[in-house]
Amino acid sequence: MPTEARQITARLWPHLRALFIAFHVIAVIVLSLPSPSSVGNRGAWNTANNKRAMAIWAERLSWLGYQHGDELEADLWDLTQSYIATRRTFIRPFQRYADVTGSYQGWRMFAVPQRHPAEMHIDIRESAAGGSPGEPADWRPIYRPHSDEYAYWRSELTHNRLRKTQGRFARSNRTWLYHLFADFLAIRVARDHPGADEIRFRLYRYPTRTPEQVRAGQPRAGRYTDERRFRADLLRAGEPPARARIPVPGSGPGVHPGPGPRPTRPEPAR
Amino acid sequence: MSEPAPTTTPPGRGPRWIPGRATWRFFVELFSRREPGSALAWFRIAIGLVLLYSLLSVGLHGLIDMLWVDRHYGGFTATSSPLTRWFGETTPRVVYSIYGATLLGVVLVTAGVGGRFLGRLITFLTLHGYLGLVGLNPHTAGGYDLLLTNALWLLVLAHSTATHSVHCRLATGAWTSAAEIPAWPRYLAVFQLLTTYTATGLQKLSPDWTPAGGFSALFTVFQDPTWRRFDLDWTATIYPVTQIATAVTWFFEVLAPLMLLVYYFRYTRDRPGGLRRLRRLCNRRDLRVPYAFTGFMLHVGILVTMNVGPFSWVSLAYYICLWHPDEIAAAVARVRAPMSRRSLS
Repeated sequence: MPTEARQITARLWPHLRALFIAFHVIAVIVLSLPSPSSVGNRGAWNTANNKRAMAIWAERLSWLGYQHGDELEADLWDLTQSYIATRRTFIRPFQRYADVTGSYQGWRMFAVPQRHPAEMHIDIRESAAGGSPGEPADWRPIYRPHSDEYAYWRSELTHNRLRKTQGRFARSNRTWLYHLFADFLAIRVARDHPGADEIRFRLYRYPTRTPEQVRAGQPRAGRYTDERRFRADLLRAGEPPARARIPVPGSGPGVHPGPGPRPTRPEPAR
Repeated sequence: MSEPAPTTTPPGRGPRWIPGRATWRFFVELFSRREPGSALAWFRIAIGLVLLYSLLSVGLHGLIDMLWVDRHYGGFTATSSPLTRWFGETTPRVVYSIYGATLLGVVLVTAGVGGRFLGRLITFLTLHGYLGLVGLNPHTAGGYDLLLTNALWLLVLAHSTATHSVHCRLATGAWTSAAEIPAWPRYLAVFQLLTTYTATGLQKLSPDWTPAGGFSALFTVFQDPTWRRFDLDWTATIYPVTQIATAVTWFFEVLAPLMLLVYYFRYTRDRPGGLRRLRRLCNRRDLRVPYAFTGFMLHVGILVTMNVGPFSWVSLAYYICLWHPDEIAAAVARVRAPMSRRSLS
């Protein structure tokens, strides 16, 4: 390279580098702002967690004229829509930069602690274990979170990547994820339990206890929802889960499918 | 790197003042600094080890198919990423090929194979291999994946194989080298760490993180079966401690931008001016130490009580960049000195 060109490059290079670094810094800041998927999902706003948070903030902000959480929520929702529209106009170059460089940002972690968690419980029913010939036996639990006794596929289900997935089951706008998860696992359970006739997945939902309730020894008081049942023989024969599903009357979010046993997970020793 | 030539002014006229020019020159000079490559080398090794753990834990648990293969081929949900779309569908062959290539790339990055060009190329390809995998199923990706991909990009920008690397060994005959490299990627790593803390703190909008909710957030998180490692009901007996920990966590995160001020005052310690007193106050003690210690304890607490993947490990890897390489070397020498004296006596 000719000497003059080298000199020009040497003079320009620090400035070009500083420009690039400035762009990177701005990209990191802009991309760190809340994304539409995290704040623009109406379903997520309607969860019990968020309703409670709105009610508390509305009470604290009553000096601004808020009487109810719904009023605050309505104003915040309008503000969020404006924010999303504005963000959309200037995010594109930074999004492209992140696609190439992996500089994605998304730091919404434990933003709203879950006060109504849901545990996935798995049971099987084996007619061979029934009291009378031909009579279906009781359900036998095979998986309960944090249980040494009912620990089917525990090592895998407690892997941090699957914990995240299961944590989303508690959110009412992610029920489809739980359905896919149960469909996948049902095949595995059927193969690993050749004697099983039926397989049952349920979500055990309960409100988080207060410190006072925990100290008083009050047990968790939850209810079962979202039951999904499968015929194990069809799954073992290679039928897809959709064909092997047994309809459960009234099963859905917030509906108890009928009288059932109390959760068999042992209470922790006090 | 030499400073640009000063502007000449015509006789009889004062210097032309361009708003922001002094600020721009300050940043150009800051990003022109060079330093030994050991801090970024240790950062590279630490990030590589975390990446290895992240990938191997999925493989050793037999979860590659479930997490990343499309549900038509054995996974539990539909999966797709820009990388796998190049190959058509997310079949087991595609996923395992990307997994194997990325694992190899991680080993090469950790070992520091390749110089200025090849080393960066290997790191860039590893970055996109990892992105191609974790992007397949967003429902199983975590915050630590973002910290890892950002770290890989910073390692692409840095000459991180100048020392403590196979490249150094092959190029110089020694595993270490005192050769200087640009310092600005390390500064960006610090900025990334502080941005992560700030963003996560400001998005903690639940009143449980504040006095409005009685600082009950951590206790609530400990009751959630999703993340806790074991039964944490006993924390109800030390509830005030969890409240203090909640408050400390929140303030630690939202006050993170102040560390940029601490760094600015350290860098301009001899500068006169209106902020002289504040500058002297901030430089009286190394404020990075209490901040880093607080962060370290928070991450240890997370590690002990919760299973959130290697989030704490990758965060602590970024802490290596908080200090200048000479400061790290001096600290290591201080720790080693008593041990050397003991072995001699």
